[in-house]
Amino acid sequence: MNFLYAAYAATWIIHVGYLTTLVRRYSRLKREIEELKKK
Amino acid sequence: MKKLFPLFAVLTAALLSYALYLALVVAPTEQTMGDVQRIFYYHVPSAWTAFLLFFLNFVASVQYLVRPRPFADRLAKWVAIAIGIGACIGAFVFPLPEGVEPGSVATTGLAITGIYFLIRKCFSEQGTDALAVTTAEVGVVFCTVVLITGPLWARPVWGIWWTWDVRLTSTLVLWLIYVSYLMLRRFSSSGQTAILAASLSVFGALDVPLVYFSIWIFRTQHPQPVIGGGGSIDPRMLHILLINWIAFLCFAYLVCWSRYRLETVKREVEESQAMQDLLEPRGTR
Repeated sequence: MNFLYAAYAATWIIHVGYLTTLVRRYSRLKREIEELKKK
Repeated sequence: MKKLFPLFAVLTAALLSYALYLALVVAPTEQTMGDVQRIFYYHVPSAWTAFLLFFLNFVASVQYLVRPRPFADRLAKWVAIAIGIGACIGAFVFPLPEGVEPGSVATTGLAITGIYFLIRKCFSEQGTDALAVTTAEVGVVFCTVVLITGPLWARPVWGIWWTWDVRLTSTLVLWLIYVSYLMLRRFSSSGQTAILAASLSVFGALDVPLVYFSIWIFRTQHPQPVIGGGGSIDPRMLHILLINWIAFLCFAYLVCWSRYRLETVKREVEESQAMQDLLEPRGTR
């Protein structure tokens, strides 16, 4: 059972980790857009 | 899509939860492997989704390469049509390996043609490049899931985490090819990066059929295919497997949509920055 839970947990850790990087890249891009607007 | 995104996200979350419940609670326990076999409901749909994404990456890359060249574009179009027609005729005329249904071969051929023309119609030349980056990145994420869940399933069943058999090795090679594709896109600053990456992707995609058919062609430690190819599966398990795959496809679609939007906005920002740098008088920076 431990292997089963480890596999399911690993799957969601990978997906959530990737989604977090996407959100961070979005916020960085948003900041860049704000800076461009200011110029 | 922007307005529908929250609704689709909620529906996908509900579907993923339902699929998880089916996999952990409703699915029958396999006799020899026991509960650990339930890893199958995440491992296999993730592999199928990764293959589909790499295939989309291949089609998008081919279109990025051929669009500016009218002759190559026409040739690629006719090859796509020939694949569809050839699969439909060939499936019923030529003998197929045991367990392969002619209907599934014909459907796959038609799907390849359909996807080619769908991408051609829906995406511009730059759009195909953005689609290629998107599908490669999300495909690598799903392939990583396959490479992590596989050993976690293998350890209690085979007694080893990993073996260098054809299926496992070719999957690792596939992952490495697409990781190098992403590294090329990330670190190369040459104007030819998109073309180089598209060419790498076309060669990388050749590994996908090798991974898929390796268990049909070679003797491997990996189990036989669950659909066709001589393998068999309880209909209840198959039903739950397909629901999990649909759930993961919806999730992959959402992630791809977000990543594609990020890529297109990023390109617009880069263009605006370049324009601004050009317009700024010298010496003001």
